[in-house]
Amino acid sequence: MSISRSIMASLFCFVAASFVGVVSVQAKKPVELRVAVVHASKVASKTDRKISKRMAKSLGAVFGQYKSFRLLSKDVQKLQAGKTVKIPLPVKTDAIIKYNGQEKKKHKLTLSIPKHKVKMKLSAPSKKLFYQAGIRYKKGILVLAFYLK
Amino acid sequence: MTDHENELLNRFLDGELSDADREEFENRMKDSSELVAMRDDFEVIGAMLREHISCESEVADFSGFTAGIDRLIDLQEPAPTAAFESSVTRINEDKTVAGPSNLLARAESWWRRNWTPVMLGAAAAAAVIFFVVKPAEPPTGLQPNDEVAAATGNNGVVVDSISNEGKKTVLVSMPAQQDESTVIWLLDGEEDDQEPVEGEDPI
Repeated sequence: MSISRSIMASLFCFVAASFVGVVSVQAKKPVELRVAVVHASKVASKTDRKISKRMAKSLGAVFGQYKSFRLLSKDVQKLQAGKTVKIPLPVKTDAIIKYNGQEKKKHKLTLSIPKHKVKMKLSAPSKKLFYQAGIRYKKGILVLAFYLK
Repeated sequence: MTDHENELLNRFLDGELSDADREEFENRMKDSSELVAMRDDFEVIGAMLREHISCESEVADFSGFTAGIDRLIDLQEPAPTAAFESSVTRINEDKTVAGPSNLLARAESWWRRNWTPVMLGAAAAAAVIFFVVKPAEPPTGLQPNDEVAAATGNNGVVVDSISNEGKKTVLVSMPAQQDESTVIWLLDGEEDDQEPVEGEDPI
């Protein structure tokens, strides 16, 4: 085989394999949503050990008016564009997250709580904790902590 | 006649016996009329076959015989220089010859000739994929959140739109610092307290 043919064949294989590899790797990278439902109470108590140190610190800073935090549930969901996931809440309703895909480096989400007829469209970056809070629950409120990965 | 004698006779007629064996076999034939008769029959048959083949070969057309063999050899293992030039014409000419086994042989031949560029290309592609997919190392002293914020130019979650048809109040608390988080408050309004007393200024 001549040298030029070898070079052309190598180049072709390189381009083809790169294309197939990058596409397949990107296609197999699902977006992961971690959700924690926390009860923030005004009754002083020890902070739940099930809550990670990082989130406990964040909860204390953001919800300083509450004295204690207790983890009610924790879930990890794989998000798919156009699909919804339900997060059960202890107040006989669900919080619903719909994933609308990714634009640039932000994930597009719709968070809705049907019982309260509230719907919000969000742009959320990966690896950034954010909260939905305020629903009353047992001398305190519910805090939904979200983290996209 | 035994099998051994039959074998000796065949080797005798083909001239494969050594001088000593040949002499011994000729002595044996002197004592065996059956061997002599068999030898005569074989010689007659051989002469007839040679004559027949000679006649056939005069009639047969051997022009292109060598070229046909060359072509079949090329199909099994194409010469590097001839492979490309004649591949298109070969495909058209040899459709009847190309079966599954032939295709397999051609694929093997192709791999033997092209494995080097294929492996080089695959290795280069693997390197590219590795660098494309590998996440960048965060700068020293920066947390993941800071990295994302720096990359996006935004510190946290942004509420694009709110649809509120209920009685609750939605309040979005945006972070003032990088280590803070966005909070979407759904304030469970204290309806009784919010109701102003008649005549009272509501704010």
